[in-house]
Amino acid sequence: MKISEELNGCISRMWLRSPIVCLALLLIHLNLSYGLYEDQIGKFDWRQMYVGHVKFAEFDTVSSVKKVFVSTEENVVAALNLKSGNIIWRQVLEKKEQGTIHFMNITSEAVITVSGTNPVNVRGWDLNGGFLLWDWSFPLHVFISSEEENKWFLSDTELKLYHISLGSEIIVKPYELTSGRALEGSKLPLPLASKPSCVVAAPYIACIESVGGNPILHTVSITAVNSKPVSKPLKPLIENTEVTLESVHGSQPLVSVTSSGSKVKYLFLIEETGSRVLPYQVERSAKLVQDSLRESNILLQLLYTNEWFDVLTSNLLTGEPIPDVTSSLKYPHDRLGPPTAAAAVCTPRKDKGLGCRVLFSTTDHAVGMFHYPGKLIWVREEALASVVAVEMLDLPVSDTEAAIEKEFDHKETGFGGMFTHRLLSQTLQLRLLILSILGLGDPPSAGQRAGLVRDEFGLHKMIVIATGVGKLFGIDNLSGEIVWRRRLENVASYSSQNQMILYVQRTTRHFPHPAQCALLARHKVSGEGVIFTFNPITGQPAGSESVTLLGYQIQQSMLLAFTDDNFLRGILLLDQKEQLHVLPSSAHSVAVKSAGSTFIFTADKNTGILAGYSLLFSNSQKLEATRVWEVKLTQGKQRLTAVVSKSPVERVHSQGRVLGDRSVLYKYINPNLVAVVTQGFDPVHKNFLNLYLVDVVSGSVVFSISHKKAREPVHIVHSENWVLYSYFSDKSRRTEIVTLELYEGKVQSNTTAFSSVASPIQPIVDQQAYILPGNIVAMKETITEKGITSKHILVALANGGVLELPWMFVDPRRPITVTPEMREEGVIPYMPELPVPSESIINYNQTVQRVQGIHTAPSGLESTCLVLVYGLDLYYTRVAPSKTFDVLKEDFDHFLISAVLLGLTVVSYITRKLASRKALKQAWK
Amino acid sequence: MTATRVPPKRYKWALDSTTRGKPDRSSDLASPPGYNPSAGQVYTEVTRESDPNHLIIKKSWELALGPLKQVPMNLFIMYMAGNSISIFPIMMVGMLIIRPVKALFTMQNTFKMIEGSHAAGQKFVYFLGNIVSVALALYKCHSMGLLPSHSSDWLAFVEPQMRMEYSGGGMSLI
Repeated sequence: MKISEELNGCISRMWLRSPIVCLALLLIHLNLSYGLYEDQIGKFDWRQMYVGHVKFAEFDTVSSVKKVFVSTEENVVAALNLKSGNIIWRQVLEKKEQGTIHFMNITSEAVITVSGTNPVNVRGWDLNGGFLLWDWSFPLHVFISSEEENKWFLSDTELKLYHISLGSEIIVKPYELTSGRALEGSKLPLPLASKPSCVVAAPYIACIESVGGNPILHTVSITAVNSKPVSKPLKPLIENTEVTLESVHGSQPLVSVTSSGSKVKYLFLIEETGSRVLPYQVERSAKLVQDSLRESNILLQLLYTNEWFDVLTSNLLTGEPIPDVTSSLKYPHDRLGPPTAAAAVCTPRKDKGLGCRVLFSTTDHAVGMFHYPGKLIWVREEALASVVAVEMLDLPVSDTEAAIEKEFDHKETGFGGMFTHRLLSQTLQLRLLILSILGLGDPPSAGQRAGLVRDEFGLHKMIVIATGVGKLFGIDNLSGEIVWRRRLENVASYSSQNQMILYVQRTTRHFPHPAQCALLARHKVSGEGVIFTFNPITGQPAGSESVTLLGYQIQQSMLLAFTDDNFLRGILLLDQKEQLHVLPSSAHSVAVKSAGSTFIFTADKNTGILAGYSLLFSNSQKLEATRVWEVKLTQGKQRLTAVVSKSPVERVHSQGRVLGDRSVLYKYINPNLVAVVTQGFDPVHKNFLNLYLVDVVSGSVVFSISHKKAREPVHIVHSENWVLYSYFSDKSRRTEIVTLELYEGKVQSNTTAFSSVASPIQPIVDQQAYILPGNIVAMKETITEKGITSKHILVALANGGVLELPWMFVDPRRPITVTPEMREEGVIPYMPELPVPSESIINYNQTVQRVQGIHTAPSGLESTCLVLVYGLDLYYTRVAPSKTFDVLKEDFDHFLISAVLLGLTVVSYITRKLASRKALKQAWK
Repeated sequence: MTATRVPPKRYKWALDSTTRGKPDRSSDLASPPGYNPSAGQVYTEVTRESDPNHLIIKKSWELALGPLKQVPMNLFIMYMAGNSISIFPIMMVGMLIIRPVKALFTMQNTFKMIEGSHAAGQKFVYFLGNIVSVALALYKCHSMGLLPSHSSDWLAFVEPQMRMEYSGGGMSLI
């Protein structure tokens, strides 16, 4: 007793004296290292790297390893392998406008990009390795922001970059390519009457304008000193004044001119002495591209008609077709949108003749490579670089299990009926078994053949991804392969948050009903709501083949809490006129039945008003949403920036928290609580941030907090009885994390039910702030099947790592002064700075760029949570916050254990025999 | 006790040889100084008690009081063991609880040994003693936190609260 007391005292003194030591001790005890063994790399995880929608493309015609360089709308410069489409190197530039690439071209040594607006960066990237060779920037005043008014031209013989600004007059300003030294600029003496439309057809600039109803083509050399402009009226060819001028990508200075109403395009080859019209015309719809090789005279016309992708290769000057290469290919139009040629290269093949490679990008952001004559070599689904919604679904059960399930799916028929049913189904199963042994049975279903069946632990799932261009993907979570893809026409994400809504209406649990998902989005042109329902396992549409136009704008949507007879959950939609709709219409009766307990709320970003609607006044004919409360959370120029509710699939196992004195602090688990963030500017406090916890059924503000000198990025995680959010502190210039925990108190006011309306309780709120040494780009909590496993927070950092932060570290109950009770409770003493140990980075060295979000889903194992990190890259892994307590370790020696057991059994039998023999002998003595 | 036990036998024997004239003498002669005729009566009482039956009763009482006598010892052990949960205190508490419980279960056998007129009382005292020991052990368990006596011990069985209202929505999509 004495000794233990002394020891305790000693420990408590030590705690007080050096919290670091204590923390270290605690860490050792808790064993909170989540590192990976070397042989586990890539075992549970995969990463897919993307580049985004291609903007510029150039074939590598200089270096020995042939590749294609692309720069994209995601501000990425990359080199792709010609044969496989894999990324050889990739450089991610700055976000948004500051990284927007305006121009890309190659010299014999480097890939040159011009990017950004303020200032403009010119960068040279090594052809083979992709590392930065030089980087210089323009002063601000040179640049006029609109992209049409700025043209670029790279002269790879002179190593100069020309900046051409098309204002009221055309100013050309050359720069030395590697040093960035500005050289003397000049004004181009183009005789322009009005604002022309100009294109660069290196090394010339071509402008078209209409003078008195006559289109005139002006051309002038950019590089030549004292160049004279040459004007050419297009009168006999083109009468119409509405003309479009396009430059044809490739080696020769070629432009195409077409007028509205014309069926053909005229081609003009620009020379020093003026432009020369080529003696043939091409079809208006043809996409033109020239061979990238210098001194080559090959023009490729790409014609896309429904299922066929034709290429017509001809001599540029004469228009004579080159027979070898002219061919058509079947285009996978069901999974790829209409293509546009980005670049082409033709090389002589070993067996005489010509082979052309055409890099194309499609309207659905895919990029692919055709080889003529021949085939489609590869396709990259770059739409996956802009994921807007993710769901993970269980796979359906296997055929044999499905047969067993069938036995139970019929309605109750009494004892006799059940018995006969059982006998019948078992004979059927026996017959199936015999047939399958003999190889005569029905062929297995498609899912079964592809191995898409549920496994024992529910770790094998289907990831359903909706992308910003309206393309849906089904991805196998174990291999990362795309199982199905579906292209939706004219679908756009909601501009306010750049999101689409993906609802799981029915999971795979309800055999024989297939699972069903619904995608809610906006029509690209009209802006009205569209819905597409589909089977998430196969990608087949559940209703109509394409999207259904709803005929109204969707203001708000929610999934009904209850299912109908077919286990399908309806979707409740609130349109812009506050009218309520339910989809499918068969779910109407369910919606009416549960109308009394259904509430819907909407937050207006612009006005800052939160409004709640009740369905109570609905009748069986009509669903009606009545506005029951309204809260205005912003004033003046404040903005409402985020509304975060809890995950609807979340389950909370423990209803309280055990304190040091062994009493219970009950959690305030309000399923209707949402966190709302507003931001604003104040002359005294500068940027400030308010967080409100609002009960969306009653409209009461349960808690609010304000932070001075705090600004975005704000990220919120809302789960169980806690809210965690991060912001950038302007005052201390660091990222801070604040956690709030809500408790009911030592007694539960109502042990069986939670109601937001009847006798609402005011929760006790614990709060604490921490410093995270890093920039946060996304946050999400882990989620498990039953909620028994402790929660961790996954934090995507700007450096490309995803940190797994135990909730224990950000617990608001971490005390500053440690009392014995607190120690008994098992909380770590407070330390402001959160550790970022490298073994807690779940993606080890698999950096993920530009993370948009993290999706977590429970697996069949309580210990394991499946994680998909999306952004420019996709990264999938699984985490076990409380370690894998429900599975045997991987290195568990099954063989040894069974050998020992078997050995012991055998030995015990032998010894029994021996012992009985000995006893017999003894008896005879 | 031993001092009183020996003289009666001697006196008994002496009484045999001098019985005859004793009543007359006592009536005639004055008693010698310090002689107390009632002393003999005391001895006769003792004589009555010292029969084998009395011995059995005494033995039984010893048996019956055994558990109670251990209580101070147990208290001391409990104090020494402390409240921390580690192997030795657990073992001690285990012993404390197992011994009286075992005794309670084998009470029928023990009671066979208890005979005599006080048997009922003795049985009760024996039972009481064991119960006290069990109670002590339980108290120890309680103070060590081994008994599910707090609300926190039943937390795992608390059902989640049922949801009365269902809500949905978010940022306006227009």
